[in-house]
Amino acid sequence: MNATLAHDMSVLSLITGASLPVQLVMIILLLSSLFSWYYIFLKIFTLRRAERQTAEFERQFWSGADLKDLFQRAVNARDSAGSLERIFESGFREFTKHRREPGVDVAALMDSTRRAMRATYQREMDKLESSLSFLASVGSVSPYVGLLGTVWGIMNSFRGLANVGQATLSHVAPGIAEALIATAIGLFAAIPAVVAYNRFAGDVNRLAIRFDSFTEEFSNILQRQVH
Amino acid sequence: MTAAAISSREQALAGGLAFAMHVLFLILLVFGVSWQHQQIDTAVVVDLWRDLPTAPPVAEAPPPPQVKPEPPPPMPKVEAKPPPKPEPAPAAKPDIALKEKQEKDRKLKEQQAAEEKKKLAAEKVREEALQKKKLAEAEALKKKQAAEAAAKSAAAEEQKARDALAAQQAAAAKREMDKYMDGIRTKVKRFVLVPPSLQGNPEAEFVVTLLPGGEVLDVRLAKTSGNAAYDAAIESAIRKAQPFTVPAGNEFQQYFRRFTMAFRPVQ
Repeated sequence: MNATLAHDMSVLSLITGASLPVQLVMIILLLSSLFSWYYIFLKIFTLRRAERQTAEFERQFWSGADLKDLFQRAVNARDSAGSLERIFESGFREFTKHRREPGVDVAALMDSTRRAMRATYQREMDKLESSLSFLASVGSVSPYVGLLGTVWGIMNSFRGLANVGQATLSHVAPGIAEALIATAIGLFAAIPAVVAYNRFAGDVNRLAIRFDSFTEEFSNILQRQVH
Repeated sequence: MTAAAISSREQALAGGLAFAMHVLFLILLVFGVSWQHQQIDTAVVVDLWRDLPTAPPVAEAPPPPQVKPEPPPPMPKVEAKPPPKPEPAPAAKPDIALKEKQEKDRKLKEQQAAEEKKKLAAEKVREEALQKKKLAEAEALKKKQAAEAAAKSAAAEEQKARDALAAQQAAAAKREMDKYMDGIRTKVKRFVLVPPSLQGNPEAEFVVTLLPGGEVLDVRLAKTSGNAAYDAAIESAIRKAQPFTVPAGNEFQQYFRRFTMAFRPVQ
């Protein structure tokens, strides 16, 4: 009786005292939490950089700089170029290539330019959206994994209870507390992942809209140049 | 700076930050919960006992008395004496025929008598032997009965001693249990708020059912004091005073699983 009453209820003892499947669940959850936080930070950096580069390129583009200069700069700094710069580069490259051909149809020229920009846009979007799906699955699955660990732990603690003739709260409580740690870790992994996923999805969406509108406007500018 | 260098630096930074985040959370969690643990520890209820009930003596059953059955006394051997040989009648000299005949008759008679005598003697000897044997048997029976009686009385004495010991132990256990009972009563009394409407010194009896930890499972009014407020006050006091200090194991089952307790405002 006294041994169970004097049960050390600190978190560490709860984790070390849990049964093997529950500990396994905890380790899986801890790893997914670590990875999701890693991707969260990585995504914060990447998206912030992409936004900064996009804003800077838009500023340069709309400040009336020469398109050829801009293209040259984009080609030179291809390694550190932003997504919008790359879209511009691929579109302008296609446009100049086709324009040199004799007797080119304006509609066909604009179509191919747009296709080139579209392809680059898709690639860039894929890069920006990468590992968002990981955050989404951590956010939706890890509560269930934690719940599995909890259910398993409670099952065990009740099975142990069957051997005790007189069941009191102090017999059940430590086992349930141990088991609930798994749910706590699952929620701990899931909540930041869900919040970050929503935030990043919104950010990427806003960037995509910016890219789209830039593509349309740039197409108009190029089309005006043909005539 | 190239994009590859930037992204690798960002990856390292992200990994480090993620790790630091987890360490921070772990520290918060550990310290947060252990702080609560200490808070709980500071609130301790102490029971004061004037004399602590000693551990119940381990009732050691005395070994069963070994009554060694005494070997029955050896039967006296009755040796049947061989019957004495009849002495041959002295041969008479035949003088005359008559005399001879008489002699012969007499001889025959003598012989018959001798035979009779011989027979009688043998009978007597046999009878004697029988008598002796019977006597010996009776003696043996007597001895055996005496031994049995002795064993019986020894066993009875042993039983008596055992009973006395058991009674003594029971009395000692009862005294110990009374100590626990007094502890419970004292503890309950602390929580009783005697209603001002109470008059006299009525007695209320309660049947209390406990759990092995000393928690109260059930309290039932067995005999009312006549004042409902006083009854209710005692019942709530019993519930408030739990857990009680109770012995473990058999003593609990025997004395504290369910017991009746009487309360008076003034005792």
